Amino acid sequence: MISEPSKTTEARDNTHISATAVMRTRLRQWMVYLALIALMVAFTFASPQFLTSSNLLNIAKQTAVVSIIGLAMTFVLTAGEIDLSIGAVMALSSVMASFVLRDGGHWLVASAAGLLTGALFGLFNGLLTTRAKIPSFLVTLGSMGIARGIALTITGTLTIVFINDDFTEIWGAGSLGPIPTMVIWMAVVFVATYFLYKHTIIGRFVQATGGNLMAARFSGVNTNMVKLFTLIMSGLAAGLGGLLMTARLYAGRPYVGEGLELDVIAAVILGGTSLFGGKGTIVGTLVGAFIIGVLNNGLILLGIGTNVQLIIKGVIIIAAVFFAEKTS
Amino acid sequence: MGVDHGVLFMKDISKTFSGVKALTNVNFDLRPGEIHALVGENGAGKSTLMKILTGVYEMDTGEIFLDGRRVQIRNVHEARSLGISIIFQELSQIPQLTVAQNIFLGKELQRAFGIVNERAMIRQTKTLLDAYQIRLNPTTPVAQLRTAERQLAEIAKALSLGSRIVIMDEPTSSLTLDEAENLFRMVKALSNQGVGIIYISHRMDEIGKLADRVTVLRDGKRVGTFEAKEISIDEIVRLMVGRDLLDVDRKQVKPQFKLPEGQPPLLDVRGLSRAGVLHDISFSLKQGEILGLAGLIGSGRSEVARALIGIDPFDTGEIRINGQVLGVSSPGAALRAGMVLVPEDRHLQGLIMRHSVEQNIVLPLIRQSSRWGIVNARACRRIALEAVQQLRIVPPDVTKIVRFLSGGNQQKVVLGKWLSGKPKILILDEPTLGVDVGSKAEIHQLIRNLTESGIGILLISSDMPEIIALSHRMLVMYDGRIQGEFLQEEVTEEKIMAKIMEKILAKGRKSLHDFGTEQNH
Repeated sequence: MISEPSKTTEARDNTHISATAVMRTRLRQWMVYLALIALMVAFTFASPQFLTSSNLLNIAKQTAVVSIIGLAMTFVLTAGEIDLSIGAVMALSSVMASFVLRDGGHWLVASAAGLLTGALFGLFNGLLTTRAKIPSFLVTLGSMGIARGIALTITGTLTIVFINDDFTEIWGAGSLGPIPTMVIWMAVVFVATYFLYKHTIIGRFVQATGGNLMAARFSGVNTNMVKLFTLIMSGLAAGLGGLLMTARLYAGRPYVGEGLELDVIAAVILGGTSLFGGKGTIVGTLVGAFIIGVLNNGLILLGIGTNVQLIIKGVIIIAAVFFAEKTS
Repeated sequence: MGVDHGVLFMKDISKTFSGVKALTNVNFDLRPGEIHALVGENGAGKSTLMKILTGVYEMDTGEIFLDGRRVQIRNVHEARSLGISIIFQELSQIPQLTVAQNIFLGKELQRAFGIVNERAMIRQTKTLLDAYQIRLNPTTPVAQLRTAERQLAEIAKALSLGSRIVIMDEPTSSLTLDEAENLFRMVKALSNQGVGIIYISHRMDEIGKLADRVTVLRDGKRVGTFEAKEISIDEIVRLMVGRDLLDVDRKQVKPQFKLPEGQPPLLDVRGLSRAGVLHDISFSLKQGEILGLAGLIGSGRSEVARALIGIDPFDTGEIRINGQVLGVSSPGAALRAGMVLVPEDRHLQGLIMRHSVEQNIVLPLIRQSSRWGIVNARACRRIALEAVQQLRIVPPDVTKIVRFLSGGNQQKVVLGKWLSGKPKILILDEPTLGVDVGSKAEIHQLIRNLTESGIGILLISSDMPEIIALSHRMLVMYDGRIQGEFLQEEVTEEKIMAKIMEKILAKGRKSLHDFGTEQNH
């Protein structure tokens, strides 16, 4: 065979570019951690209540829902899709579980009802995206309305209250020693998704599908199944989020999770997952969720209301995408 | 300062990129009305030289003279105003706009109050097209044109700018033979009108047909400039690569592999049809055989490949591998049965550009290298390392992001990705498209070596000498049908073209797209 050492100028030029590009990506990964630390330092100085163990646990609890759904959303975005319906699906799941509990159902039945609601909406989103070929952005925008509408209709916009200690202990209100169960669920989902993303076939297929759909298909990846899988996953995560919220509030509220998609997508994008598919990071998403959590918590401590928080989070999303796409 | 070197003279041009010499004291000149071919391997410095001429790059040292006058070209606009235009490989038109709108893009004719004067633009475009006998309708949206016609529109645009120097970079890479012939006529017509043409191409036969002079670059240096009549293609290639590699390629033009007798076909295709696309495709492929699939672009060759591999569905027909019917039609099923397709477009279909070399190579093999759905990272690394070593991918770093590799190395990653699975049947769709002569010979050698291990290869190529040199048997396709079969001993380029022409004539479509005959009316 004839050897052709590729020492062309283009190749050399490329090597040069890649070195800086790699450095930039590294820098970006570190930026997320630095941002989190900087934010925490700033709030520590600004508010004496911030750096207390009870407040930190509080942040962890508040972050649980965003991070759990964000971890699933990392798969969806990596596969090149998006799920805007999570907040509404979470509300419907919460309401469904609450109905079962109110009528004296077993906590397991209630949990199954909540998770199943989420998974079914994921299936619905997934089938419309892959079979009917409607972009997931539009499908989930539609199902966001559908899920929220159902939740409001069947409750008559009222809060569904119940008493079931087993349910609330297990999902949201209890704790294992000093650690709240919500934080434990977050840790479980983190470990599971980390493993799934990095070390399993399905994780690789998700990355391939979003990286280049055509190349993935040519490589024997059933890209429709992959997309269906990720959307079911985010639906299921929304269902789990619904259970946690229900337990934490001791009630099912049809208005819960409004604007949650903003927090979740901000967390994932902040973490470093590409909005255009193919590349994502599970650890980054967790850090991103904590940035959002710390921000929410700290701003409240400083007396800045949720209205201004919305503005700040909106700006963060746009800035994060801007910098991410500049560096990649 | 008067320097008599025709319309253009580039003197002692040097350019360094981050410490690497891309061009070293290169001289290049162009006479009025001359077709001057610029050749060299990928990375020889052709593009860099042309980018300096069009103001994309700034040279480190050197001078450029136009009509004996020294000029400064700092950007593309200055190049244009000096009458230098480049026709890009990827055309830079806006598909939704018409031919006229594209030609006047950025310099639209206006009435008062900035209202675009559409009618005047169409009229002027028509005059321009007529003057150069380009048969295009000014009001057709560019999206509706074929690639060849788009190229003509692009050339018309260059002429509308009053260009006296037109640079054409690989203009025929996506054209059929017919369309290429038309383009050649056009290029000749231009040169007759006094326009100087710098012609960059990997296709040696075109240079023989077209060029008045040839300049060869190698490793950023000018090897020489020759009158085309006084130098043979063999010599040009030898000067380009600096070694006799084509001799190796040529010695084995007739494959030496002896087909095993009396074996069942490795791949047996019967009556494969898809309404409007494929009609009753039947053929078989033996172990160690290279079966060529010849035909024009759009004749259905890639569609056969896509149907076999299960990317596209088919209505009727049967695919057997080693006598076993291939049940489900999907790329995964084909893969498991040992049949893979190396697709023609590495960016679009072959690679995930933002993933690493390893991720790309192991993707089709991930099922074999995992257990219970969990990927065996060590096995993946081993597979990737093997492929990188065997194919000599540079740099030999499996964690490298594919986007940062050179084109030739990207093509090797694509091959590595499919060969690592040790397939039984390999379908190659245009394996050397846009690849320089050095890598091309290397890929040819690889294809021949593969058959020795018993792999059957279905080779799709628009490069006639390539397909003839490599294939044991050839099928000629036209209009979604197999129109003829040739054995290696009997086939010539003329016979294949004759077969295709016969079918075109039979369909009575000749005059429809044949620009050349219409031109003479």
